[in-house]
This record gives sequence, structure tokens and C-alpha cells, in this order.
Amino acid sequence: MSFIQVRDLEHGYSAGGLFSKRHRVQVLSGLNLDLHEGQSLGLLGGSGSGKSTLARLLMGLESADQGSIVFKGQPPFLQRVQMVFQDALSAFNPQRSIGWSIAEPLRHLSDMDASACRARVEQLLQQVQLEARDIDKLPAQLSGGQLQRAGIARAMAIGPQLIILDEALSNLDRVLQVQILDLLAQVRRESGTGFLLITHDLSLVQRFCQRVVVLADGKLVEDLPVTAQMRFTHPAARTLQEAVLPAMPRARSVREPQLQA
Amino acid sequence: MKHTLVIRDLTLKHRQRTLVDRAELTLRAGQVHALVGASGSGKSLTSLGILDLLPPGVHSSGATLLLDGQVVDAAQLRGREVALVLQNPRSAFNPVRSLRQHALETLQTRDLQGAEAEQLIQSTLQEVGLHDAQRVLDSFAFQLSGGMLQRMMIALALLADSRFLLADEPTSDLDVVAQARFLDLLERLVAQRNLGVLLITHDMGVVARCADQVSVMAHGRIVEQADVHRLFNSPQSQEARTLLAAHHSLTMESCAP
Repeated sequence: MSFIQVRDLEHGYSAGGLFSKRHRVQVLSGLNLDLHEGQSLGLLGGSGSGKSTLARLLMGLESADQGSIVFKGQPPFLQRVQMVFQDALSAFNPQRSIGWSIAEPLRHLSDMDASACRARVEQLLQQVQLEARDIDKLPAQLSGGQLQRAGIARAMAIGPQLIILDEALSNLDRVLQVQILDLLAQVRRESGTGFLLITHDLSLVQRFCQRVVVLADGKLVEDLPVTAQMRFTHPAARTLQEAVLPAMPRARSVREPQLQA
Repeated sequence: MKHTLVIRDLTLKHRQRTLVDRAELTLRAGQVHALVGASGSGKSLTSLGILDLLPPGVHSSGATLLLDGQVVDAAQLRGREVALVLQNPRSAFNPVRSLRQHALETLQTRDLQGAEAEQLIQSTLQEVGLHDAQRVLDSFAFQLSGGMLQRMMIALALLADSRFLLADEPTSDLDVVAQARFLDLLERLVAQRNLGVLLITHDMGVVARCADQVSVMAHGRIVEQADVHRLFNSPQSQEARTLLAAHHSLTMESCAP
């Protein structure tokens, strides 16, 4: 069943400074997408392809120039859809504790009292493998990986049906990426949450998602179920696929140091 | 030893805490030596320590640098024999100077100026794949993409006629396509210019793609050194196994036939 339906979406920005000529940059043009309930969808695209713009439009952080985004679930929207941002440090209030930030959706979207909120936050911290004492820490006291997990805990707090991850793993090292993907897979199994994983890295999509769409030239150029053998056909999508780094060193000999310059 | 840069006994401390403990590395011309390890293992500090560009409060206790077997001082190396490419290229450029001024400044260290300098700059930018040279040179750092700035950093290293390049997570901020192009360029320069590279990364995919030798770092110590095939086929240290396990769990599915 389609959960969010996007039809003929168009969006652009004005570029250029106050004193220079203004340029119009068209980011999305004629984009159509159906998000299904409980599905993990990978949204793949290169830098500047409009992935984050699409995420911001889906969340209602900006309104689209043209086209429609229809939410077919039960309102209120934010109780069903939450988002994790790329830059974890700037996504937290630097003056408030981690526990306060994670509880923020609960204060606004549920009628839990203070002690119930705290209990829920403690449960969430445990779920994302942070320590109970992290609840009173400030964002600057956590590492990038810990903070990103706190961001995921905040997105999970209200028990949404869909979590949008906008390059939320890109700044982490491989070991942490795998840990967090395993954590998200566990959340998916336990509570049936759907995910929209926005990334430029196909290997993350292959590990985590059931379906993948590729964004290029302002529209979706591929829409496939994720399998080990999947092959893209659109040139932009093929470029992304071919850029994936090899699993093993190539069967070449190690370069011999050259003794004559 | 001809055409080598040997680092011996690099120890870095902050107050009483040892951050890098007796690191030993050998870079050879025409080879890529990868330095891998988790976040916070001391990889970046090692590269800064080699050039004595340490952050305030961190000090080095008597490392020995040998260039072609001769003892040298870090200050003689940096910006000349050894160039540095950083993760965040935007902060590595002076924001109020055009890239042309950066290039000319670099050439001044070699006493090159005027038409000769201009010509060399043009051809070097072509070599690193910046084909719109005039526009790039007239630009300031904030007007170019991360991938273009990384290429410009390499171009400056070539202009300084450096024989060795220390690259600290050069592709971590780039998307996969820009990363692949950057690694293509690096491999070409290693082959054609006989450049010796220390490539710092946490991504074993980058190592598989272009490294010859690998050093694995954990908690400030180098815990394993091997050639790339031996490391991937029979890792000895726990750290190497952890990195490879994460790498394989992301890549093995996609390389299945």
C-alpha cells in the first residue's frame, strides 16, 4: 500500500550572490515516487542530484514549486514520519542534554509525563547501544558515531512508521556504518518501521534496502528490487554502480619500487 | 636506500598521554602505502607529525626522518619534497586568495615566475583533470566543489615538484564517483611521475583499490605491516580483522556473481 505518493514534483533554487547575476537552478523536474509502508527504500544519487531537496520536501521543510506530495497515513504527519540529518552535531541543541533532545518529539507529539518520557529515553538509549549515563551529556561530549545514534534514537522516539535517513551514515567509518545498519535492521524486524535511506553509496543500499531508486537529472531513472545481481541501465546510475570500490585487491602484483627516477 | 622516505621512532604526546607510539613507516617512490585504522587511532596525527605540523599542545619526541638514506629535518621536507593533501580541502586554502595566487606562491619556492610559471600551471591543471583552467584559477576556494579542490591540492603538490605525497582521508568527503576519479588520478601519477604516496583511510575498499603496502594502526601503535594481498588474505591483528569484517559485510553481496 502506498504510504506517501509523490506526483510530478518540481523544485529549484536561485543561485548567485546579491551583486552577481541570479541563476535559476532546477533541481527536481517531474519526479514521481510511491513510498510503501514498512519498506526500506534506498534513494541513490551523486552529489548535487537533489537527494536532500527531495527529503526536505517530503518532510515539509520546504514547499515544492509544483506537483503534489500526498500523505496517506493517519495524521498527524510527524508522528508517522521522522528524519535523521547528515550533520549530527548541528542537528542537536548544543546547550541541552542528549536526553532532553531525544525526548523532544515525546513532549510535542505524545501526552507522556516527565517520568514516562525519561523511561522511554532510557529504553531508546539502550536500543541504540548508548550508555544510560549519556542521557545527561551535552552533544559536544559525544563522538560523531555516538551522536548519530542519538539522532536515530530521537527519530525512533515517537514510534514512526517511516524514518528518513539523509546521508546519516556518510560521515562515519565503515565499522560504525555496519553497526548502525544492523541496529536499524533490528528496529525494522521488531517494530516494522520503514526506512528511506538517502546515500551516494550503493554498498549501504545493498546491505540494508529492499528496493532502490536512483535520482539523476531531477527525476528517478531507476526503480528496482535490491538483489545481488541487480544491474542498472541508466548511464548516471551505472556510473554510481561502477564507482563502488572493490572487495579484494586486484590480482596484480604489488608495484615494484622503481630505482631509477 | 634510494628514493625512499623513512620515518623512524615517531612518538607524539599530549601532556603525559602518548598518542602515537614509536611509529615506523617507509614510503617508496612509485608505491602507495596505506595507513588504516579506526577513527581516533592516531592516523592523522602521524601524517602531521611527519611534517611537524602538530596542533598546539602535542609534541614530538625526536623522530628520525631519512630521505634517500640522509637524515633530514621536517621543515626541509614540507611543501617541497613532501606535500600534504587534507580531508577537508576547503579549509586548506586561503579564503581571500584566488587559486592562481596559491599556485604562484608554490612556484616561488622553486624560483619560477612569469610566463614560464603560467605555462607550467596550465599544463599541471590539465594533468590533474581541471580542464577549465582559467575559470578555476580565477576562483576562490568557496566557489569550487570539493572534488575540484582536491584536484587543485594535488596540482599544488605537483607544482612544488614533490616526490612524496601524504594524503589524509582525501576522498572521505567526496561522493563515490568523485572518489573513483580522484583515485584514478592518484594511480596515474604514481605510475607516471613515480610519486610515493602515504594514503590515510578508514575504508578498506580504497586500500583494495590502490594500495601496495598497508600499515594498520590501533591506539597509536602500528600493529601490522604487510603487502595488500597478504593483509586481505591473512590478516594477523585484531584491528585488521575488524576493519576487513566491516568491509566485507558491505561488499561481498555486491561482488557475488
